[in-house]
Amino acid sequence: MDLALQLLLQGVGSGAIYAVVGLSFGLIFNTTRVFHFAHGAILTLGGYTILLGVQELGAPLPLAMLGAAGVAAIAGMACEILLYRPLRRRGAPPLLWFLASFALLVILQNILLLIFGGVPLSLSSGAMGRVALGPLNVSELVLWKVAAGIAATLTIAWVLVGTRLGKELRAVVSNPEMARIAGIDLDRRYLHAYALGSALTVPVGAIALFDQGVSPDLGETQLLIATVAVFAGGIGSYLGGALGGLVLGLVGAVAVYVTNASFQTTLALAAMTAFLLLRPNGLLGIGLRRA
Amino acid sequence: MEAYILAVLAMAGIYAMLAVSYDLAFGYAGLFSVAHGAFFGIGAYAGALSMLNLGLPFPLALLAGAAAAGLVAAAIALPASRLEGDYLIVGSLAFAVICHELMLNLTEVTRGPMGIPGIPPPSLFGFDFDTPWLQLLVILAVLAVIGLVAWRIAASPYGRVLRALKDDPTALEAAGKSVRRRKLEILTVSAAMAGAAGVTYASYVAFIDPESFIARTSFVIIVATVLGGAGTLWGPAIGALVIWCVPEALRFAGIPATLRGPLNEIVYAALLILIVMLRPEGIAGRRRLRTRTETGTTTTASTTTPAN
Amino acid sequence: MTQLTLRRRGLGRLALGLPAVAAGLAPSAGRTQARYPELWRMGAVLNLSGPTAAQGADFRAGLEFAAAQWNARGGLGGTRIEIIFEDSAAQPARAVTAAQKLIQVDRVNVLANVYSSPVLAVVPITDRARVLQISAGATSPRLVGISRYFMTSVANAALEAEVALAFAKQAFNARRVSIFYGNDDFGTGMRDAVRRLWPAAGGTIVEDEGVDPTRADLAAVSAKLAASRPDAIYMALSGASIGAAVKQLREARFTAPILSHQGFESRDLFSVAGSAAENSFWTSSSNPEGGPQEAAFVAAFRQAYNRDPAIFVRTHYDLGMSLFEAMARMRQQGQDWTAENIRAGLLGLGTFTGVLGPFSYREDGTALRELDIRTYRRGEAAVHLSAAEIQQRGIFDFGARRT
Repeated sequence: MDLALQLLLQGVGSGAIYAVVGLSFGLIFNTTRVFHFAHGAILTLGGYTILLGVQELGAPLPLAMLGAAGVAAIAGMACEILLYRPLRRRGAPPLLWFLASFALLVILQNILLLIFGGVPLSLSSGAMGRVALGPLNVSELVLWKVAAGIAATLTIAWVLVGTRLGKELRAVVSNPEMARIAGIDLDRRYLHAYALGSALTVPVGAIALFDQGVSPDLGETQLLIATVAVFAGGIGSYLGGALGGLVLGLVGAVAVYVTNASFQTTLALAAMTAFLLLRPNGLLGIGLRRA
Repeated sequence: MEAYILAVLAMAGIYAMLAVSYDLAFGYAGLFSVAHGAFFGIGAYAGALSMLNLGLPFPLALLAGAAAAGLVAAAIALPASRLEGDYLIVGSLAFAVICHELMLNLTEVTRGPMGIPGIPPPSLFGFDFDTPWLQLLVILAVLAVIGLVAWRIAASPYGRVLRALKDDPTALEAAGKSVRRRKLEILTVSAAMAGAAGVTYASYVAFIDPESFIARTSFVIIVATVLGGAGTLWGPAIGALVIWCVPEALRFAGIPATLRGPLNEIVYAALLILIVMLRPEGIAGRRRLRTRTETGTTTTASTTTPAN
Repeated sequence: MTQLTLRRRGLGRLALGLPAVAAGLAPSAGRTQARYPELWRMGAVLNLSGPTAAQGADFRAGLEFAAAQWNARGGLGGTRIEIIFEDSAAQPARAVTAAQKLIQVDRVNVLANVYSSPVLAVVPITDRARVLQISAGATSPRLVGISRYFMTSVANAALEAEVALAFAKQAFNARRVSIFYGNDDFGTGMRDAVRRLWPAAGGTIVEDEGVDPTRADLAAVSAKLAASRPDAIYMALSGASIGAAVKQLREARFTAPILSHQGFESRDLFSVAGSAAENSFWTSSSNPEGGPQEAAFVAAFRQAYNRDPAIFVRTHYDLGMSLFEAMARMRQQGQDWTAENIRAGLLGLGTFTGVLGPFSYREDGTALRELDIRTYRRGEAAVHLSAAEIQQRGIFDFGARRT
């Protein structure tokens, strides 16, 4: 199999995981407009919870993931209730949330470091098998990544279209003030966004357990990706984060193909910035410019 | 003990330059960027290279560093002035990361990850400022110049235009002032000051490498600014002192060796949250916050307006 | 600072003068009390928080354990050792204030430090204060000969690359080699060494790719390196990303040998890569007669820390043990523990045998070690070729480098 095809596959795989990260971060960011840095630590927490479930409690992986989704959701809601909501009540500007959230990330990361140590922990025991798909020979790991990306995107699409929560969330995004007047309980919906967004990070933690391992700084490295994915995808669009993430994965692969890997991040970010300048609303943005 | 305290004060002084200059763009003009650490780095590299390769004396290197950072800022400010609010945050974040990667990868210029060692201490007419006291003196002198310039700008009619830029850009535009030009100017000045801080840092530590200018550096500057009270100029300088003194004080807190490091970080971050909760206007901020009923829809608000 | 240095110098002269007088009056009495404290403090600036904190914890444990063992035996001829650890988060600016604190407040004159950025930022301070900086983690070529007051106990990185490549040439008849390096000073230093050495040995470099370990999409890079179809890949990464990189190379169906350096043998790697680490060969400090000594060390460490001593625990344990040995010998010979003397003491130690085998300190600040080739077999690291076998088979002549 030639290099271009191989890189394309890897790009799709990475892009699928970035899509999940973008979706989860976007769900929270678009709804609440908080730069929720601590989201990174919650992603990591989910990974460790799966590991504990499988290794200490002997739970099967899907069950451990379900448990981790619960833990992540509770942790995400705790951030909102204990930190962001009091700040909002006081009318603190978003900048203070930025600061508080950054501090929260530092605290959670270091707690995880004290509990689990800094060595990446993993459930894998070597390279995964490969599957023949027609003429293609694909690593199972890539297939799992793609499956996680598709599952997360479909879940969110269904929530947005098929549930009352989704309809209200969309209303909140397009105009929070109107949504409140129309009788939507903003505090409650914010809480739901944190719960759902946090739970959605669990597949990322699970894949990491079979890929690079989970270490306390896993989530922090994903945050930059998440932010870029959400903005490239378009603020105000819940599914934009998924598309942004996928594109980011592909751009990364193209960058490796055409130049040296050292320039991977530079090229991806430069592409995104240029794109945002040309089209500030992103790929799927709903044209929400705020004064 | 003495040299240790002087070293902490020196670092605080350098970060005070960064915080004060950041406050000019952020606290006064409301430009919330996370690229200040990158300008700091550009200045440091430009200053260090001009001292080592061109043999420039420290004062000229200081100008070279400020000019380099200012020029880069002017070049990117043009497109950046199209971005506002959250877009500016993310655009500037991307810029900061790209700058770090270029410092790593343009090895012919920057020596990449090897960094640049052996940067000479500040000197003037053949006199080396190479003891801790003299180094601190230089840092305080540069800080004084930066503080003075920032204060002059803030107190001038131009400063009032800046504040208007933050509070009501539309009205400003209507009054016939070009918002975009103001943004461009203030970003350039602020970045040039950060560049000067970079040269001072390079000359003080005598060694720079890309790891000193990561995105986290920008966050630390923002923390200092907000902690001290954005929009007051002297507040952020106090904030810089606090963010360097608190972690150093924690070294004496008797934290057991096995927890040292992580626990220091946790206590430090918890203190930050406490301050945000109890005194959101910052140490120096005086006026109470405007309370807003709606949530999160205004993006470029800052903590305080200056008291004068 | 000037005053402080002057005062210390003055005291030093006094300390040198007094014993001479005392010795003249009463040949031995009172001499030890006057010159050796009850408690001797050294400092350590380590990365105890941040992304490399796992390694920092290993560094700390190694030094701590060496001090604990000496203290259990009565210390340095009666002087108890205390190590004060300060966090640098591997950041140069934080290392500067941490070092100042240790030197000025705790009055240490020996400072352990790791990673070349913090080391280089601290060098001007230790030079001025005449404090000896020692390291078992900074192997970067950029640290060779940087200061009289800097010494490391680990092998020069370029030597490791040379031995591994010579081995690949003889054992696998490798001709085409690709390089997978971390975009940091260690990785680029190793890359430059391989780029220089391999063509000189008649081989070809087919591809080299550098990654920023915290950001890179390792999957894509691995696919590209595997597609270059080399006979072997030299891996010049270190830290947590190395396991993920090995695993990704195998995911990308690279089955040929992976070559690497001492840092390859880490918990980080084996816990993530698992069986993907098979068919890897790396250089590691040779320990020919280390059996019983090593076993005793491992057992004692396990008892104290409830885990196995990882490679970075061992490197720092050896650093501590060699330092304390040198200082104990100095005390027997009645030498003062000044930084200058301790430096001479380490150089005069000759060949010191630690748990990672024998080594000796050299004038240029690096250490001379003979190297084994190790491999990963049945879930653990094992010696593939000992230094003696490497010598016998004519792969590499360690003897020629000794002079």
